[in-house]
Amino acid sequence: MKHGIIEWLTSTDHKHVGTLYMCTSIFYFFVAGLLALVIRAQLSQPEMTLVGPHQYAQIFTLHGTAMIFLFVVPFALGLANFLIPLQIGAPDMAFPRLNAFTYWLFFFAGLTIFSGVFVNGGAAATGWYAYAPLSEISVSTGGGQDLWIIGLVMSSISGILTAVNFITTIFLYRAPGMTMWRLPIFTWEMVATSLLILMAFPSLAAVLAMLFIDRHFGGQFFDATAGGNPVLYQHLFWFFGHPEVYIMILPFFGVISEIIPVFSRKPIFGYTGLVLSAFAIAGLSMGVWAHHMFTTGVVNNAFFAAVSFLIAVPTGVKFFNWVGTMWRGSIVLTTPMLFAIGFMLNFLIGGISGVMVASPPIDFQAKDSYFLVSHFHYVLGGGSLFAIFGAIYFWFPKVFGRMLSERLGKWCFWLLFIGFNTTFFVMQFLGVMGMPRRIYTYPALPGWGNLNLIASIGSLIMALGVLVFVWDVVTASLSHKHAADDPWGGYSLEWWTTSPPPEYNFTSLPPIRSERPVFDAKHPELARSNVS
Amino acid sequence: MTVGRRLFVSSAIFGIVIAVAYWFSAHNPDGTILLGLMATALVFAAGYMFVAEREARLVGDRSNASSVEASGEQLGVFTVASPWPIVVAFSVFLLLLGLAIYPVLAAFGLALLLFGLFRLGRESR
Amino acid sequence: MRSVRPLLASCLVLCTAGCGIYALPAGATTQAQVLHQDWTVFTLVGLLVAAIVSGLIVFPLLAWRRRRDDYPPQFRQNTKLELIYTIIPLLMVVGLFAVTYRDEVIVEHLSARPANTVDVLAFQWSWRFHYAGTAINIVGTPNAPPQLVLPVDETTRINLTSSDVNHEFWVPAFLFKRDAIAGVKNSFDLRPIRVGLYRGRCAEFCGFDHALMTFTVRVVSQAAYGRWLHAGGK
Repeated sequence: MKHGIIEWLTSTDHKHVGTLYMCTSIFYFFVAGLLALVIRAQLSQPEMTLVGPHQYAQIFTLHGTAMIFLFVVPFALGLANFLIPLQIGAPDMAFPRLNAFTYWLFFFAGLTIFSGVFVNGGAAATGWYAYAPLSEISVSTGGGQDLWIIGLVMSSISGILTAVNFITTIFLYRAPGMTMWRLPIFTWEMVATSLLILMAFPSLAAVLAMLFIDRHFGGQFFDATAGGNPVLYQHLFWFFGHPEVYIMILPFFGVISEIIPVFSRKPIFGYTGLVLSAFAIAGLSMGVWAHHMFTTGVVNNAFFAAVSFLIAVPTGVKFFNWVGTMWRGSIVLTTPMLFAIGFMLNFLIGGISGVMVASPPIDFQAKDSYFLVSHFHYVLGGGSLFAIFGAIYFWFPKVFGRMLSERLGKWCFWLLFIGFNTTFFVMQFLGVMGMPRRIYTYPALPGWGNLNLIASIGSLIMALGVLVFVWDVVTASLSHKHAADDPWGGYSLEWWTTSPPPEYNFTSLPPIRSERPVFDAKHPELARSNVS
Repeated sequence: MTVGRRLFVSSAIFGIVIAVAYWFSAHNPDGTILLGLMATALVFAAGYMFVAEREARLVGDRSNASSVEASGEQLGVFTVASPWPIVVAFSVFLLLLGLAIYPVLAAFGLALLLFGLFRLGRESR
Repeated sequence: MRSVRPLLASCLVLCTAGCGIYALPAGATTQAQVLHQDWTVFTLVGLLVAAIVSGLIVFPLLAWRRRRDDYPPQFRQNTKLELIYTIIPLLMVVGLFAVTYRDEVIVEHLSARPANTVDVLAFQWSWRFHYAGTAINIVGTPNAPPQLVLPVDETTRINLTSSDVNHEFWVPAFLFKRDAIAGVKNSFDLRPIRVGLYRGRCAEFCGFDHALMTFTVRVVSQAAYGRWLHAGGK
């Protein structure tokens, strides 16, 4: 029996792989968060000189790249890795060794991206989407850009193979009675997410390869002076880039759909609508990419505006289904539930500002301004990040066998909620007033200094919330109190087994006649109305 | 498995529809090719679902099945531990890094990759 | 109850402060007047949706907190309701799209005979304004931003491109920006309605001095513009 570090380096158990993914991604959250604090310090007042323009460019590039590719996506994939076999009643993933491979590839990808800091010219400094021609070799001469490219190629391979594993496992390894229409919503969202990964990431790999060929093998894909086309870069990148943001939110729609029913003491409302809307969102998201290109003047803005507006409809359906779940329920405001409510309120703002920028006339002012920075932070920070904290508070006992503190959890929530909204709400005003993104400093224009100072103060409040969270995790890990199998009164199969689950997950399974097999087994008198 | 088949068939139809709609509204070859390739991939997957479905008789698909019915059935091979995933991941890392920075590293990475894949294959037997 | 009151207060503050419209420039061109209307429509609809939906989210927290051990009625669906809240948002977005489409056509309309034409070249890290048909070439540097002089109540055609990386020509007071991309010529019309001095900046990250890649737009009376042209742009 291998122990210690060798066990962790060679384990192919999905629970270990999932835990590794989640812990590594949280580490990158801390790194990217520190970078954000530097950004907010630099911008807290006009004309500060904490960092110079080139350092600042590396900082915002690494912040965005790490948050997206090394935190939100890997955390979602890690959570799914841990939960999917449990939720469908399987002993492991279909391809356990492939699973472990994808984690280690992600591990090396993160190192590669950040190693750019140590090379001549520093890390990549062209933003998380690295537009050509700015990222071409004649302009971005250092090796940091190449290391970024390679790290992202590795990430792409890792993600694509994970998606393969997820789809195969969900289709083929469901326990007896676990028909597709009885899958927990989280698992359904992961099917949609996996499809998106398969459709979108190849485009990223392709554009990165083309950029690399331009940089080192005499390619001219994006060089206008040689007959190439910079706009092609944007098409290829955003064909990946837009589905990527849905890859970053669908799993968390799933998390919210798991948390809200349990703490409303009711089944999820509108199960079919939630499933159909997941695929509507996924499908439509493949057709909106050029809403990131409304100001290029060379795309059909109407097509992309129309499809972008349409996506609001299935998203709204989800919101109303969550409200329907809470309606006439019996609500318990635990920490996971607080984060779920916070998610809904934040994502509401992010979604509304998203519908606004889906309109080209509005985008003409908002694009590349702090209005847009506010929008995407509301959906990714206010949305995904809050759902991540909700997921951690909900499933920590299942993963680690210890309960986190409800008292500290509430402090963490309120500090994050207040800090987050303080920082990002005022950015809407800065944006419409004329502050563009990615500037390392700004002049003392009326209102700019004060609003930026407010935003920076908010970031400190958030940092405090994160510290409370760290303290909570540390004290919980050191506690001797073991968590119960089912501390919350959960619904799906992961709550049937021990906390943490044993090797191969289950020693027995309850009958599966609905999407709430554990609830049905514990409340047979209510299960009769449940069959689906 | 019908759900899976329906999923991929409707996705494939959606892909074709949106690729065609895009061509006729934007006349942009870049996006049309991307959407067209996506539709092609989905058609492949949908086609496979028809072939696969003929042989699939999953206990998970039977709504009245109980776990007793699946007991004793060989689900698959689930390894507990293997050193090869991290070795292969490391070799891919060396290979790609070498391509960018130092070709000799790439050669070493390739060799390690082939070795790792070979040992993975042996482990499966 | 205690946990919910601060939540409620935060929502109210956010909703009322949501009038970001106060920070939006009034719009100094005829195109900007149309764009400003879009902002107003979308912000009002957005605030309405935010108020209704956040109310729907918060209301259950106040009305239905757990008070007993037994479970509430376990209903799972209401197909009619679900159809309603699919169709109504669909109609709303169709309406918003119609407004958006109509307004974009107006804003991007190129007049058949613009009174003036300025070729704008973006480069790392400033701008060149060449007044077509004259010898006037205004070139800036990051420390000495160039000034674009425009006549009020006349349509000026801007032809925009880049000689290197992607840049973006943004005048916040005009509520408008457009990309400057090598190999692409972007043309748009500006018809200022107010004399004044407006700030412009590059909005697409373009490298080291991106933050300093600014310019100004001075809108003057037609008479003053004529004199300025005659004097060779001095």
